[in-house]
Amino acid sequence: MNLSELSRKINARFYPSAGQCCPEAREVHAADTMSSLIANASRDTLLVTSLNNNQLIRVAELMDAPGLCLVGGVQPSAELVARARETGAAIMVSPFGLEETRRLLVEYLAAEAAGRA
Amino acid sequence: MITLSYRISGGDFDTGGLATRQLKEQLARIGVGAAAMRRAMIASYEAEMNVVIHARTGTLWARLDSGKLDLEIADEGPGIPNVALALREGWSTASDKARAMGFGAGMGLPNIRRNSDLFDIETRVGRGTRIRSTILLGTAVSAAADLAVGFEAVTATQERCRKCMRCIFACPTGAVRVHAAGPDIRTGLCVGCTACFGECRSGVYGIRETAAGALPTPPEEAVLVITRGFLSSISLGGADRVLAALRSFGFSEVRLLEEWTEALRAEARAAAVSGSAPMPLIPPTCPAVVELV
Repeated sequence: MNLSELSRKINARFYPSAGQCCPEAREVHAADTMSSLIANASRDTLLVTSLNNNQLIRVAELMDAPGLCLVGGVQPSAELVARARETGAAIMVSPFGLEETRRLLVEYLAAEAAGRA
Repeated sequence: MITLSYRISGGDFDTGGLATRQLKEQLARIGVGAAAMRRAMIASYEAEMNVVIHARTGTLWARLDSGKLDLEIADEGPGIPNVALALREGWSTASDKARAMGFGAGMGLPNIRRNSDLFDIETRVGRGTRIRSTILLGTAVSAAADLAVGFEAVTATQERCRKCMRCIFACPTGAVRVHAAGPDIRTGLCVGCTACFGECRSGVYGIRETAAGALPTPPEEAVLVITRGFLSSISLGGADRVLAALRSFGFSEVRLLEEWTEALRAEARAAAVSGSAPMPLIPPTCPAVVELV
């Protein structure tokens, strides 16, 4: 599903990437450690995390992840947003906590997958 | 063999991961497949961040040889007093600063080991640590080379050439020709491995900017030839499943080397009898190149 559309569904702020108009995700992985994020990242995986630092973009970039979803309504730094734009990853900021955000995203992606099937 | 090296600054979280990113760009140009790339990125990033978190400085080396990628990360740091403990999931000595950034979960070394076909660690307390990770590339790189898919990213500035001929011997696919005017790259054979870059001391070779990062696109009718040994080395519930998986990569046919050799032999025999071949047959040592050398 298009990350912009996914953001609207969970009432998240959306910071689009520069390169791709509509990055898409089919899976979600939520974690608060870098090792878990990188070990489970892929070009189809939206990474959801309570972390908020520039290394997140490095992980997304290395694994070709379409985007990052920060949680708890945090304000991403200007540098994080700028780096995300450069690397082609979108950023979402969910108003919910880590687990609730993950649950909502999984539900919407599952519903979309069921609709496609 | 292609060798790449990158410096890593200990304690610098801003540039942490940069070496791995640069490695990724090079591996993408060479045509390393997605699965091997993914494993390489995880192993390299975890090892690099270990240097950033624990050491003063370090170096990442990547050596790409036939069918495998060797990563070696050596640092000048405190070393590891108990390797068995360090390899245990959840054990970490990372600083509070690193933990606040999401590192220090004790999954770094286990992640490297899990994504390596061969893994080795050497450490001396007070001196440093050296990690070696080997990732077998499977068919991805060799298939790209075999397919001769027309990689057009490598450029040659002919006037710089000193006719040393090193590039001819370095090129694994025979894509480089050196004429009186200078080198010429047969784009139909070039796989963009950049071996010619490493050998040339005159700066003849470069990357076309618009093509940087582009990967070879397999032709529509690509046949993958594998050995029986390769087939039997993958135990996934039968040869049919492995063949189906290989076809899903985009190959129109997957054939065994033995039967392919027999088919080629039959075609060559028929062509020899009829006196006409459908395409020129080039012996392993091309007389034109020998004469030029």
